[in-house]
Amino acid sequence: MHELSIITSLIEQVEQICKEQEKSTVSKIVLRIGSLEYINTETFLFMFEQAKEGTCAEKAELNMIIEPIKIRCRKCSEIYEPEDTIWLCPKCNEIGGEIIQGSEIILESVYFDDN
Amino acid sequence: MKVDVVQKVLKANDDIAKLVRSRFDEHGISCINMISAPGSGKTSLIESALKQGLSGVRIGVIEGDPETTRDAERIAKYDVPVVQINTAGGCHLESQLVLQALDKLPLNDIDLLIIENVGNLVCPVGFDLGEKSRVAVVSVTEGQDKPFKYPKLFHTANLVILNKVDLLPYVPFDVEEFTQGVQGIQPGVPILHVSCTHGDGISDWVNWLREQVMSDKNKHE
Repeated sequence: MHELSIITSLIEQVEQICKEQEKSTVSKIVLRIGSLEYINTETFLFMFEQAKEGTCAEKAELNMIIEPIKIRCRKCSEIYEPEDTIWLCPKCNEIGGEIIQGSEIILESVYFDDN
Repeated sequence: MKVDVVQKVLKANDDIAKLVRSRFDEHGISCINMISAPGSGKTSLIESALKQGLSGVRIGVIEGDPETTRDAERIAKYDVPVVQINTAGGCHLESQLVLQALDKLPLNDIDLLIIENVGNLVCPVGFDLGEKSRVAVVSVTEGQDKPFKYPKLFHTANLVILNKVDLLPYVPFDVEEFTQGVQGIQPGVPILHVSCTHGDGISDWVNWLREQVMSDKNKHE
């Protein structure tokens, strides 16, 4: 249920952007969600619909782009998407590496009604 | 009209965690964040460390739970500063809650602050609390598949504790598979085998805690 904390933070960010842009209504929010963040998108959407009421995002549609995990091999620097929870490099068979995608939730962009 | 933002959604939490970290630096405090499922023995591990003592290292504790002050009462018996955070149903601690708790602790009299997170293997992982190190605790009754099911915790842990090893003769827990799972996610992370009831591995745990403080102290000097 960490979804609710994330949504609260998201709406605060969007409200701040509204203020900066001097806009009152957001039409669309684009989020990039890493697979390693364990976000249940149905729960997330359901909670977003509740939380957006009375805010500048009240009429906003939420576009969630799920990003797969990408690992940079710690030995040969190959970048790959692991097929299993054991991160095994397909090139050199080394286990483990640095996460370069899939462990963050990023607010990508916000759209406003033009009128 | 489109506005490109490209900002972490949990930036607010990260920013406060940075502030918490700077408070720790100011007071020379090393902070540990303990994460596990409910009932894995986080409180017992803290109690074991307090019982054994860390020879001159002054410990403070923050307890996170949805309800009650039971854990803080257990810790207070050892006469160390402790603050209980009740999340009122919340499934993880956030940096803001830790920042507030700092006001209730004698920061000048603490070298090592241990935060016991809410029992949960998913939600606490994404929330930086300003800690220096993370400890993941798994007990043998939970099964060896935890690293496979919750990889992010094991990827971000600086220490993994396998607790309740005195029960190994009675439960079908495959230590080798567990170890492979952890090492497959983060090769080289130390894994300690501990039993709080029989005392196995407690000195390793206490030594690890002492190292966290000592490496910080060296940095300050």
